[in-house]
Amino acid sequence: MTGAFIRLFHREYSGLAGLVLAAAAVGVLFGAFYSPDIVAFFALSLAVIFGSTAGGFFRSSRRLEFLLTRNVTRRAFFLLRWVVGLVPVLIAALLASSCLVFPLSSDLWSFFVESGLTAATLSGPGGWGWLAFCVLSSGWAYTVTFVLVSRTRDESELFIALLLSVAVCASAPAAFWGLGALGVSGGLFPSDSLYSPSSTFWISYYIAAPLLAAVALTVGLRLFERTDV
Amino acid sequence: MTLVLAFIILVGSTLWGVIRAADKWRRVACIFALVLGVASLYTAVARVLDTPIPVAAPEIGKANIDRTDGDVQPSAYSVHLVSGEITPNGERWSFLAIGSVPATRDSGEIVGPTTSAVFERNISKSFFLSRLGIRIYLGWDERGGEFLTVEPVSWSTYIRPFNSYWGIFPRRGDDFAATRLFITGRDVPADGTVLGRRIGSMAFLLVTPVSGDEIILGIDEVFTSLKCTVNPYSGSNNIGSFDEARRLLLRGACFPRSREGILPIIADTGPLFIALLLIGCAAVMVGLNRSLALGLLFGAFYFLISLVGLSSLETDRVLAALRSSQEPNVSAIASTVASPLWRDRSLSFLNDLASDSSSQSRATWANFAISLSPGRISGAAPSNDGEGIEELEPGESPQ
Repeated sequence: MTGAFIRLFHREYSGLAGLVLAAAAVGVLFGAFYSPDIVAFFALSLAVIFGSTAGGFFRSSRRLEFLLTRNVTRRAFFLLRWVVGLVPVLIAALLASSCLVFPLSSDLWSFFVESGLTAATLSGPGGWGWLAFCVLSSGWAYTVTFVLVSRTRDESELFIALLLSVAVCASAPAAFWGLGALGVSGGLFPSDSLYSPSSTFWISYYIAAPLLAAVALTVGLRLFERTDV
Repeated sequence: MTLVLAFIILVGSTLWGVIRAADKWRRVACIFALVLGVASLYTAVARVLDTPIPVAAPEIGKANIDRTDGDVQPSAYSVHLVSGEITPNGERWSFLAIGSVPATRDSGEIVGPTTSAVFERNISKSFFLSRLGIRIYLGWDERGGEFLTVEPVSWSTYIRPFNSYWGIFPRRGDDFAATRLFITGRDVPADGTVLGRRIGSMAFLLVTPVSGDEIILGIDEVFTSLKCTVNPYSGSNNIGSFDEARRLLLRGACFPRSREGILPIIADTGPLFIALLLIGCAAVMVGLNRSLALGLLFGAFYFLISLVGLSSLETDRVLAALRSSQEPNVSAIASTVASPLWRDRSLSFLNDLASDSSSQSRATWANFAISLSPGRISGAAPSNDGEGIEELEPGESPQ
């Protein structure tokens, strides 16, 4: 059953997944991922786009036939679809954010030119911190969008769900930032830990992001039980 | 090698499209893309090979210059603006007579500071140079010390306000004094070139005593035919020879450095080449139309690899032009030093040129260009090169 599901989703996703991966690879070729904000924007954007695509269960005849002719549980349908959509998001986000740590673009172009076609990388733990932030935040953003969009088939509700998903995506890092600021003012953390992506404070966010995504997925699964597929 | 690789990607992808086409219209589209892509690559290569590299001698303007009579007290000083430019078409020097300054110091008319003069510093004259976007103030302060103040009147990346205090007016018996105003440079996209061309400009003031006796001279002849006031202070803004002025022009053209990174280099690429390479990129995407992602990836790779190949071809042509010209070609030297993609090749070429004993002039210029190359510490300011001049510390009086 799992294999059949993956084949079905692959037929639906392969075009968009290939395009997203190609966009990440072209970004690497052009050295476009030279700063953390660009990478974060790219990773979160593709997470929202992919999350809405995966979560928006449009009613195709092929899918309806598949669901009607097999003994499929909602849980398996929901979770497998989430996993299959998550993979290209994580790969593309990882490819883009690894440019912050490894000089992928410069190493490639050093075969062809002597200088100039280079892109700066972040040194040491800071780069790894940003990598973790971009990859894990994209996973969280994908999950939130997937859960919110999967609840409805109505166009107007889909639009609201998309707006809401963007707000909720930003809520986790923003809430952490607010908590951190309160902690700094209360003397719990040193103030520079708020501005360093590799500080213990932000490492706790990297641990919390997948946990929050798991909670969102569990809630989403319960809501999906009552959704008209 | 890179151009061959680009050609293989272009032909391979479009032929793949022809072979794998599902219907005859797609096959026709792929054949059309193949022809168009090859034609665009051929046009780009032909354009690089056809674009002339400026090797002509610098274009030097002439002006009426006052000749001093050492015994006569000048009543005024005439002021010329001399500007040098490196453009994609070569090197150009021009004169502009901007006015005169009454010789109040020489006639003993300097007065003590008043409330306004404290701030205006007894400015004898101010000039607004709208083309350069600067205002300059010339004169003497209440103690008889000469000064020049330069203020940019509009936003500028490099021109900053500064003052100069010595050697602005010629000393008794000297014919003229030359004071640097600014040097500047940047990359600009040029139609006939693959990568952006380095352009630069510099300007200096030429102050001569008004005597009524005028001769027509070019800027190079001014320094050889007339006597220039020499400033002994280190770090002064004075210019002692035409070669010094040209070296300053080259220094300005090579500073600031080219921006690093792929996107800035593409931003400086000539628009014609961008268009030609995009046609090839589209041809690759048409050839790989069965997978948009693969087409996008290979199209982007073709674009960049062709850009690299064409810029390599262009750099080779600039280096060849530099090797064949006997006289220093400042425009080509600036392109070589500022070459963003082929620094090792350019530096190695300049080292060869510097060690070549057949032309002393070329070797000297090559040595200077090496000192401007990225990662090298720039040489001493040209104004310190005067032989037999004792350097003074601020506060000491010149002899």
